[in-house]
Amino acid sequence: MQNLSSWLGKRATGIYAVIALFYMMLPIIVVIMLSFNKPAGKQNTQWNEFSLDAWKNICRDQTICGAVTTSIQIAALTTIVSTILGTMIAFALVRHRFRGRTSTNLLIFLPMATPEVVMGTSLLALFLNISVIPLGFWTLLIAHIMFTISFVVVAVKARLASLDPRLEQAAMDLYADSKTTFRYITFPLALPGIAAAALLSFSLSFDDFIITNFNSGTTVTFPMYVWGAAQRGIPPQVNVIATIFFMSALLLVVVAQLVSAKRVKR
Amino acid sequence: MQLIPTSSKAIFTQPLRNGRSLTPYLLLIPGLAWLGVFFVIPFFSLLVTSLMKPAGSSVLDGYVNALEISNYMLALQTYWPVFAKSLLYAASATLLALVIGYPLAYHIALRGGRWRNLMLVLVIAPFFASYLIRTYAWKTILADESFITSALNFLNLLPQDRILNTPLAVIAGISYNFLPFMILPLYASIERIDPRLLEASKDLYADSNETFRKVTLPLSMPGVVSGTLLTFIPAMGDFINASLLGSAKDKMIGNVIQSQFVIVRDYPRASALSFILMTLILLIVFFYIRRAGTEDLV
Amino acid sequence: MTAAKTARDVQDLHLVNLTKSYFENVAVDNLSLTIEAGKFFALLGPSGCGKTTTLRMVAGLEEPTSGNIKLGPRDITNLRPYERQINTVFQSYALFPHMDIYENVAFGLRRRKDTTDLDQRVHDMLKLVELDELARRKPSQLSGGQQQRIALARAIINSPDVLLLDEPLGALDLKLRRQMQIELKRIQLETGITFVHVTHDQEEAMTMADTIAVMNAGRIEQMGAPAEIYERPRTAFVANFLGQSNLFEGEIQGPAENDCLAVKVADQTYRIPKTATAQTSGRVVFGVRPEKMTTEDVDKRRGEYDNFIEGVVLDASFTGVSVQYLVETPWGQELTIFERNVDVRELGRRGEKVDVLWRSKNVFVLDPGSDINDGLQYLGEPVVE
Repeated sequence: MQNLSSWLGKRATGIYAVIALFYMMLPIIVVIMLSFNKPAGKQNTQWNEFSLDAWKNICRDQTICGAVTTSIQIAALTTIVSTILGTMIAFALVRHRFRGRTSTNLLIFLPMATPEVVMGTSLLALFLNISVIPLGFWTLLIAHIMFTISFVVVAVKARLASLDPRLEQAAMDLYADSKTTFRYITFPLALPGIAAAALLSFSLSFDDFIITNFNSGTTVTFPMYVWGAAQRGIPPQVNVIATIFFMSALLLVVVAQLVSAKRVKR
Repeated sequence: MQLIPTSSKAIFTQPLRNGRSLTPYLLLIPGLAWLGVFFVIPFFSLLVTSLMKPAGSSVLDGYVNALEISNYMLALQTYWPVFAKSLLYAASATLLALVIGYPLAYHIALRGGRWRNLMLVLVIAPFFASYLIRTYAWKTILADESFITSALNFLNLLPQDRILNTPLAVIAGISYNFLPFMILPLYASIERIDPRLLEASKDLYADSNETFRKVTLPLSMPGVVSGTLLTFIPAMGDFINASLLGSAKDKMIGNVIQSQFVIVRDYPRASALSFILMTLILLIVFFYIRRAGTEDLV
Repeated sequence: MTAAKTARDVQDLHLVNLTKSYFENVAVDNLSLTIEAGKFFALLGPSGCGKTTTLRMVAGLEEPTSGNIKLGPRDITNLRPYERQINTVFQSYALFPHMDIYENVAFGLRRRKDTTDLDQRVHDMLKLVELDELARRKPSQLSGGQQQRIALARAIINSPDVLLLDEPLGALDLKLRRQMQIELKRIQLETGITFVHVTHDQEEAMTMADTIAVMNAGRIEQMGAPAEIYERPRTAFVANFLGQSNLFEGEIQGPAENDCLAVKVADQTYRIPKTATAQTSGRVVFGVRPEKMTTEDVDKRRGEYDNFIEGVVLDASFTGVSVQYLVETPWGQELTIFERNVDVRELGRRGEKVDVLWRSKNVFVLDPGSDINDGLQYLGEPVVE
């Protein structure tokens, strides 16, 4: 008995961790499971019968795939623009001295500390007041770039700050000028951070609903489609798409982890 | 032998060299301009809109610029109970996330061993499963006839005999959805603690509980502060969980703003509510940080 | 060895009135010195004395506030780091973690487009540091000592006019440090490159350097061959920082027998050689190294030495090769004596009265006005910064 309780004591946090992680995975398991379901009625919330129908006919409802395409277009453009803009800011913050550093940091921090409802409504207020750009694809792109920049800055900054500035000095000492130093030393070493930032902004954009909801006009993104469908019943195809996206993102993360682990070890 | 001509003096800014270089500004301007135009200026639009008055008798007539401070009075008068309820839900969800997240972050940081990276991947994994869809999945998990609900009912733990469409479901949903935002800062700050400090504490006669209370917990406070803020702030403005998991009575302020803006199209009232929400959050964050005494948030 | 180009057209490095200040703080204060081509030069001083700043200015990583750096006749003060034929072995090495050893070593040659026989030269260089078999490993797979050698190879392969070493052995353990000291000296002799070595470890500086400059508070205190500055320190700082010293303050009384001067310290008289100082009167500060003093039973061998102090043993510790005594003089000063472990008397006991004896030829005299406590605060400073 004594042994059992001390064994439990030592492993208590481990046992807890397994339970907690299971809890975190639970909804995802349900999502994946229901992608193989043949729902009895309109609502795909109850397990009924195993079926590959949804996987075979992802685009049976044309609007789903249209929405996914729109979301991918917006997410891809958002990723490109905000990764570039955010990386530039991160470089300025870590590698340069300049006036206004504190206000810059504040401006980067604020979008992350503002609820999406507030950002979404204020941007909508702007678009309504100036009414130059009609609500739709372009307003969504503007909004998505706006709220992802800060996340890119934070991710790239963390990576850059962990780099020893002596590596760049050593490159300069070894006859590399500024461009060459950037190309051979700074950029390759910052790349994992930039890649993580890009993945982050893609998923943030792809998944955003709240800000999108205010600024989409008649454009339907994937989350907008899901929201609209929620009232009358979400088809299992939605679960299929969510599963595909989830698996691809996870695969990327795992591959990145393995690559970096391999780099450290050998 | 001179290999490099003396004249090849490139524009070059060395790491933290004190110079009047333009480079940092060139790097900053595009991104900061974007944030300035599409993040800062919209707040002024929001303020302007919140003070407008109707142009005609119908909503369809639109609104004109005015200084209708009464929009705020009316909004507060009508919706203060919703604000109070949102505050309660968001705070409860944050507390719940802290209670669930801390032991997990602790385990990953200090006892993770070779499983550490795998566990971290699992922590951020929900982030890649669509927010709406994973919330929708909770509908299945918490449904009245589901295993969890039946089990809890069997133990007589549910006051309303159900979870779905109760405040409990809303709070659980919010805390679940923002759990990664709680765990990651906690993990970062616990991981930073020098393990020798914990050994020193035990060496100085503190048992595991005392070591945790006197050393680990105080040193992980920065993580607790940023984790709770990163959970609380989005929780305050959320309307997805309340829509999908709650009943009509459980609507939060986000739901009101959303319907006023998108459905009712009472822009001034919705803007005023949004402005009040932001001010409220800023005040709470300000006093919270003052209390917690931490300045390094990010 | 291909790397050993002994007949090099290398040139002296001149620092002229070099000053670096950060706001109010003067890190390097009007420093002027010439480092002879092909020599192993050490800049020795405690942390914060300005030695690393000096090195970084020579490398081009730091801009001088004023003054010039010249390589031979050419002024290089305003050249960018990559425009100077000078390379650095960085503290903690700064090996590029994403490149293998081979690419790290080849980096400088590739940047200069000097790639004839690149492969051969890289391998030769790796052989010089005895690590050729590790060419395709990543830096993180190497031990500290191996990383150190790669950092050295990466710099030397460029045949720089001057090689700068910033505390290169600081991160290594004692045994490895000794081994690398010999290695560094060997490579310096083989390549004939001017080495400028910054360190706070006096033993390291004395083992390797042809010339040592002792730096303190942004200035050079004394410069010379290791033996010369050890035997004839000119300032209290040098006497106390480079090894240990027993320093005395006294008043010159006048000439004494055997070309000596009689000096009164407290109420006792001691002899110092006339040749050691230009002074003939007034206050004088002189010193004796601890290993040049010996202890003896009271009044037993006073005749064999021309100076003695009758003191009280405060502490005696046996270290194997020597016995270290701490003896208090009648006027309350503490003296340190290292006695070689040869024919020594029985280990002294605390409170025992002893004679401390030394010969006047072993006395050195400091610049007048020296503060005998200068530099003592660095005793026992940790070896690794």
